[in-house]
Amino acid sequence: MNTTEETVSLLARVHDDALSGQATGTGARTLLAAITATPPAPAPPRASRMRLRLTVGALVTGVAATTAIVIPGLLAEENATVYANSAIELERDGDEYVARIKDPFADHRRYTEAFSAVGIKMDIRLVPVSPSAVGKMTQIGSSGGSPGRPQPLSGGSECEDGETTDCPIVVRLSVDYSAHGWIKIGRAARPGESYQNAGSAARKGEALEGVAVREGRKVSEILPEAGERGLAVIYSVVRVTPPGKAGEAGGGPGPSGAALSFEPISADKVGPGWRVWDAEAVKAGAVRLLVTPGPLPKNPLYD
Amino acid sequence: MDDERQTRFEVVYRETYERILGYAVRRCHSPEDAADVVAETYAIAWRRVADLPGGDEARLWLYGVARNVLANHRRGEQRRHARQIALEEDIAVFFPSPEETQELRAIGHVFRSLSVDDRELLSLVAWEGLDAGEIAHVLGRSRNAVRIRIYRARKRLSHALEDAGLGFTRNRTAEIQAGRPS
Repeated sequence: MNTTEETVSLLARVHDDALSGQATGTGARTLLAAITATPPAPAPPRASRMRLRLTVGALVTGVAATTAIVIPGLLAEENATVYANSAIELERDGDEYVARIKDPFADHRRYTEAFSAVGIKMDIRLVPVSPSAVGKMTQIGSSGGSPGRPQPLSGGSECEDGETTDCPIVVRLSVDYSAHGWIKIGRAARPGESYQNAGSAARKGEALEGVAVREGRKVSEILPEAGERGLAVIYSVVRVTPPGKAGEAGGGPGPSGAALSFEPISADKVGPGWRVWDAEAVKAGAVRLLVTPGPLPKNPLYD
Repeated sequence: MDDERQTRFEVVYRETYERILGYAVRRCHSPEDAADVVAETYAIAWRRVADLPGGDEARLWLYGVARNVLANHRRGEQRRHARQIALEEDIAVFFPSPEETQELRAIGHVFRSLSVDDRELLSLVAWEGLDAGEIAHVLGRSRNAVRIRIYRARKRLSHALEDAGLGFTRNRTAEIQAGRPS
């Protein structure tokens, strides 16, 4: 080792060993996809060469301090096939566009922007949901002609088993999608934020996971189990209108043709002997029990 | 055939990406520039995938491409930003500089007083860890010519450091190294 070499080495902004893992990061994968999206040879004439332009922004950040380097934004200027901003990353995969939501709390216009770049009208709204619904579509719709509906993938494909909150939300849709579409997708809720999905609180990953809440057990049996888990409880009473009388009550038909309606009811009106037919996730630390005043021959919600 | 080329390119890409990224980050003044150099280097490599060598030669070949990209970039930059040097220096604080101490800043100043060619040779040795034979590959020159040029560049740097009162002993170098946050 000689002194000049050591001295010059001190001037390196970053050493290669600090970049370990960058090759498999988002920036590297996005770039690779952008580059190999067009065939390599024969070399196209200069004028029509695909130019890769990097979007402005803090691309490489904190090298010395954190060694975190991101090269996110690639925008092919003609026939854009790849787009990325701080909120979303869109790439082409065969006949589909694959969009990965990088920041589920971003302004939804940032998502729209990415789809616009490839000529697709798509509004993506992320709504707060209970843990097991994060990354899953809650609603979907479109207007105008469509040669194929958008197919949002659940977060599952990008999640390890058991992980529900920190895996990317992914939406796939056909490259020839021509309708104006919208998709609501679940994101993790902020503290105190109410969930916008009506998911069962007994599902895997939810607050009452493993608790039997659909057997018509008594409120007095369920409450201690909720209490053990530190959950606040609110109630909705389920009203069941037999088939044929559906017109008399609001609400939709139940599985057996009976009409169901739900009404909030305060806890002091619910007796310990009331029966529980399901529990819904309301927000972090709170569940809603769906109850009837007395026993029923079977669960009215699930036949 | 196309699949085979793509697979080969992807293997090279994965194996070399961090090295080329490092090369660009160490030589660019801004993250945007570094990102541009990496992107353009691999875009060229993809267009010329038929020429892309295998194994470790791919890395050296890519250093050569990145070097040209960087040189073109700098030429463009000089035209565009001739009046914006002061501004760039201000902006550079957002791109962390390794020159955290007075001494390192002084060394950096001396280093930048060398010719572009000298700096590149010394950087390829100290930053990319290449030997004379490998650098000969990158630069497309003979190994002997590179050896001589490295030897001379080292001497010029030593003299410049001494002139600036920064003649280093091994111990002082070690002190500076120890003083850097890891």
